[in-house]
Amino acid sequence: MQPDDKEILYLAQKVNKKNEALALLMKKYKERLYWHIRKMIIVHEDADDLLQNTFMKAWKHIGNFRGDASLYTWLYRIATNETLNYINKKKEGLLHEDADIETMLGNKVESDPLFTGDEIQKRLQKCLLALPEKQRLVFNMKYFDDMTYEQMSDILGTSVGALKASYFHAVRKIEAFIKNEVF
Amino acid sequence: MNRVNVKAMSEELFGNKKCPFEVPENYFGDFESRMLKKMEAASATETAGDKVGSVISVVKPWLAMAASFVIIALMYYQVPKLFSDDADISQSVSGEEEFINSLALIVDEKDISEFILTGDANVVLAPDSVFFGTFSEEELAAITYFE
Repeated sequence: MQPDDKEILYLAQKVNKKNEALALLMKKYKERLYWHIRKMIIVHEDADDLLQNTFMKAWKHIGNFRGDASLYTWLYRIATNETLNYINKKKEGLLHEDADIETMLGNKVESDPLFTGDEIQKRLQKCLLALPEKQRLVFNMKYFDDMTYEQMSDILGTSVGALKASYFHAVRKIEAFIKNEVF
Repeated sequence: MNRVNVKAMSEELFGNKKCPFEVPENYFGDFESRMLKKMEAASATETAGDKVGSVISVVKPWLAMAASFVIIALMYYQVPKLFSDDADISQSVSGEEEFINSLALIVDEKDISEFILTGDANVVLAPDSVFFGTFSEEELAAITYFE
């Protein structure tokens, strides 16, 4: 049985129960957050680092959590920001080299022993890497995680209309990539 | 805008919706214990940092006060010396006096007073003056020639 958010927040306020609350928080959200990050970052080690950073940040600021959003939304928001910041930093770093992050991550999909998908899934991942980060994020959240646009709107701070448009464009681009055999 | 129907997406195009990645064995099983260790280490470092910070925050005003006393003391003793010409004047005067005193032992008073009044550049020394005692014969000849 999954621990209740209210219970986690209550325990987090108690000095001697903080570790217990943290353990419950991680138990409840670690897998969902991990897959959310991993689908964007592709590499397990990087996803692991970002997941740890997400919990560290959440833990540091949990005292300031006002409960305007659900704990789930708040954690997803932290994880998404961490992930997008990481990608941007990586891109900046690659500016000096003759490489781009899409090709680099595409090669990882090819060679990663932890990628267990078939050829169609591999092609989809390569198509996704060719999309802008936010479209990729929206596609992953909608297609793989079955999130509603309202949930996505809470996490990403974008209107439902804009999210629908992003998803629509993402799907159309992927279809075009596949039909034109870009990947 | 056409409505995108996820169900209608061909599995042939997009594949199944299963996430195609895996994690190393027991990754999620170990995660909490690894994170708790990491957080305990981080909080221990923070606590140590806080202790050092608190010691510094106690000592800092005292250090600042001591430093300001040192600066005031330095200003009191050193600044007048730096901005005053007295030191140079007293040094040059004492040097001049010493020279005159040493001359007084070997030269008569009239020559000394003439030297003081007219300055050494304008003094015309007689060849038999005791001042020439310090010159060699060649230097003496040169001086005599130009005079």
